[in-house]
Amino acid sequence: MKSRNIISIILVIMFLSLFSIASFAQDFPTKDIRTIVPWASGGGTDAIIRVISKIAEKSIPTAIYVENIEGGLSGVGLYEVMNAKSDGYTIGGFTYDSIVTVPRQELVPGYSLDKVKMICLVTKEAGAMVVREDAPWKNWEEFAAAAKENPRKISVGVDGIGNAQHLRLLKINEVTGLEFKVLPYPGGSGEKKEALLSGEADAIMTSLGDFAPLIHAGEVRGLIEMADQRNPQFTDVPNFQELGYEGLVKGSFVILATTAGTPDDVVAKLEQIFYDAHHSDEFRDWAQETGVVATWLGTDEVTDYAMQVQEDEFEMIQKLIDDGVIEG
Amino acid sequence: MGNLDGIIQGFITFFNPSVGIYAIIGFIIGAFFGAVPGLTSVLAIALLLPMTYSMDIVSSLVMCMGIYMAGIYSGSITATTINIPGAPSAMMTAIEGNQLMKRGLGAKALGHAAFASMIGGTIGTLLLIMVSPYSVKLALMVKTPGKFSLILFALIVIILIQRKSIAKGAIATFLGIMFATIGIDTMKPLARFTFGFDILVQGIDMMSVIIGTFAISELLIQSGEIEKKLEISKDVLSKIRRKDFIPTLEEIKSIGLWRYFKSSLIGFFTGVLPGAGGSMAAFISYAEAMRSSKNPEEYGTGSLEGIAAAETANNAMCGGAIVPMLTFGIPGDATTAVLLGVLVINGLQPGPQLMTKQFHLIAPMFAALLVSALVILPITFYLLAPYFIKIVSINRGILYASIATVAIVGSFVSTFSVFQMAITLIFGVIAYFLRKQNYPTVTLLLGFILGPMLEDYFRRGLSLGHGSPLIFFTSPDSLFFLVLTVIFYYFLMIKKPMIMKEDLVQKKAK
Repeated sequence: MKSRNIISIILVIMFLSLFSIASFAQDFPTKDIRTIVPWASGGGTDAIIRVISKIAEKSIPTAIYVENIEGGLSGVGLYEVMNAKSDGYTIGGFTYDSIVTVPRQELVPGYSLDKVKMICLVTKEAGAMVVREDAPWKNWEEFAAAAKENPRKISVGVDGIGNAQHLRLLKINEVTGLEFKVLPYPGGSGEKKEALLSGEADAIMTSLGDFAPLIHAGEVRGLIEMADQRNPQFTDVPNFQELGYEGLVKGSFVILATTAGTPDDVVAKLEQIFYDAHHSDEFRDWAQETGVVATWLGTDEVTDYAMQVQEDEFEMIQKLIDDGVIEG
Repeated sequence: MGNLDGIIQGFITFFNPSVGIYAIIGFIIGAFFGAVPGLTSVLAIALLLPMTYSMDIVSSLVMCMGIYMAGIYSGSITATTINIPGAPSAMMTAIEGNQLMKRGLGAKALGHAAFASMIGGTIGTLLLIMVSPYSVKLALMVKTPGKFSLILFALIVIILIQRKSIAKGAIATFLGIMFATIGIDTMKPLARFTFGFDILVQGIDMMSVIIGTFAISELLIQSGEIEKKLEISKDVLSKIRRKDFIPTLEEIKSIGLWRYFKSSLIGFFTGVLPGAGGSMAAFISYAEAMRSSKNPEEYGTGSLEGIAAAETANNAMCGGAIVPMLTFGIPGDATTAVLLGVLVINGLQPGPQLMTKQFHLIAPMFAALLVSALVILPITFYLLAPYFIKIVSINRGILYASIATVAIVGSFVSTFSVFQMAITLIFGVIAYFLRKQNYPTVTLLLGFILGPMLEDYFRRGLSLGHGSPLIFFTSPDSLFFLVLTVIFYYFLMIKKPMIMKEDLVQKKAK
């Protein structure tokens, strides 16, 4: 009697689980989707992910909620995505640091991009250099000439030593042969704005979007962008490509990814949800107003893109270490 | 900032009941989050972030202002009644307020804290409305070397005001600074001081340290004294009336109007200075009050003056911290950093343009801040004060255990990390032994909060000076704070002991 009961329970469970797997993709999502932002609430990446998931939420029956899990330069929060169930209900926002710095420095043990499945890229922002509006240099040529005359005298603010912005500056140094005084501002874009306005730093490595309100207000001027075409929101800022410099196209991005092993049709559903949100007027308008550059790369392209960025950056970092420019 | 017309329009919008009600709701949420250890106003606004997206922007900003003002003020309630500051900015209030509570003067302490918060919050908001363009310019004069010296000033002075236990104060401060270095280097993407434990890469969260050193250690200390009777008998408690909470005119006069105003100014400018925040504002104002006080010997044993100075400054800080956030998108403290997110998510870019073109969205926010401080704060205090004081008549075993539970859950909500919850408990035990040996835990916490900034500013200062520390003496902003440190050293260490000795001699002569 007892054993029969157990057998029937097992059968029921097996049946139910079969049923749930079968109905999985069609009905997805049947519960709330947890989105991990590995940076502080109130920051730029946080805003992008919150806005797009709020819009995406409208097209599904359940909610998409955001958790900010900081630490380890985004590694701690994203580690949770890597160890979540492969069901597509946990997604995370990956940025430059998550793709390059964390794996390269092995900051979080067990962290590996093999454990995630990338869904899409939602924004891409070119690196840029900005100066105060009243700076003595009207354009990049004048700035470069001044830097050539006074090597290591003109100060440039970056986010941290060996971080994305610093590496970009080093790349500029390598290509142009210029040298600057490097000032690290690891506390985010607020600190950099303060440094530029107070006159502590002569120039700042950033993205134009981060400084958009100050540029529009006429306090700050975009000097140059690390892109191959002009930024639609700041058409008067030139880029390195048009000035004839090679290999100076670099920037940051936000990629959404879920746990590896998630069924393909669930990933496809997630891609569709975010594609619709990304191409909505609401998102486009918001991006326009806040200076964010909305760019779309789907599931087919995003992994290759991220891996290419990782490969290029690893190669460059290794070269800088070999040349003794930075420490390992 | 803005024109008078815009401000008046802002007040009119605010007094529309469907907008103004959000300030009251916000105030109540903020008061709860501020008073409960482990929950802060930063957390309250962060949890509110998804909601603000569906609310209209004016209402959500008004609500955030209510939370902000209340969260800073209500930290003083638990600080006074049970010696656990509900918010880090109430650290200094705990030192004085709880002493008064033990002497049965808790009502007075709470009353003065509320009154000072009201004054500070009001003056801070008025300064925000009137002088913000100039104050930002002033704040921009303090660059990296100056900020380093300001932090150094704060750390040295907090050690000096320990008086009887300067050596122990110094040790606790250094411990705090050292704990804060665990994790990832502030300047480079490298893990350090993890002692072979991979999990330490995520560092030690400030929430864990605050809850551990105050809530958990207090629980442990109380459990050791559970046999002891209540310090205040039930008779005394039942005799406390509402009017006992209202500060008398003589007390306010003896604290002095100038002191309130000076504390407001200190608080406001500490707020305008990015990075410093509420605990720093309260602390500097407290130290200055002690320096210039006629009765410095009262400090540490229950000084109303100390409470007034600290609470005025931390609420005046609110107005100050909003200034650089709105004008340049540079948040003045942790709460305004999240507030920046509220603006950005709603498609508003803080900056000079926000203050001119979209001023109609911002002005009601100023009104909300002013009304929260000047009207809602005293009314809620008057209505609820008798209940605050009765907290201590709850069975202490149950009271402290439930506070500890809520506090630990709070540390989880702010980090989503079980590891940080464990760290909270470990810090509780460390702090318990430190307190048993009379090491001050406030200095430990201040060391922990300010240590990373000290390191950051020091290393960047050296980069600025091409590797030479001389820059800290040649920059005028830095020199100013170094001289200030010497002045405080003179007053606290040389002049004050002399006065006290003279008093003693005179008393003996009599």
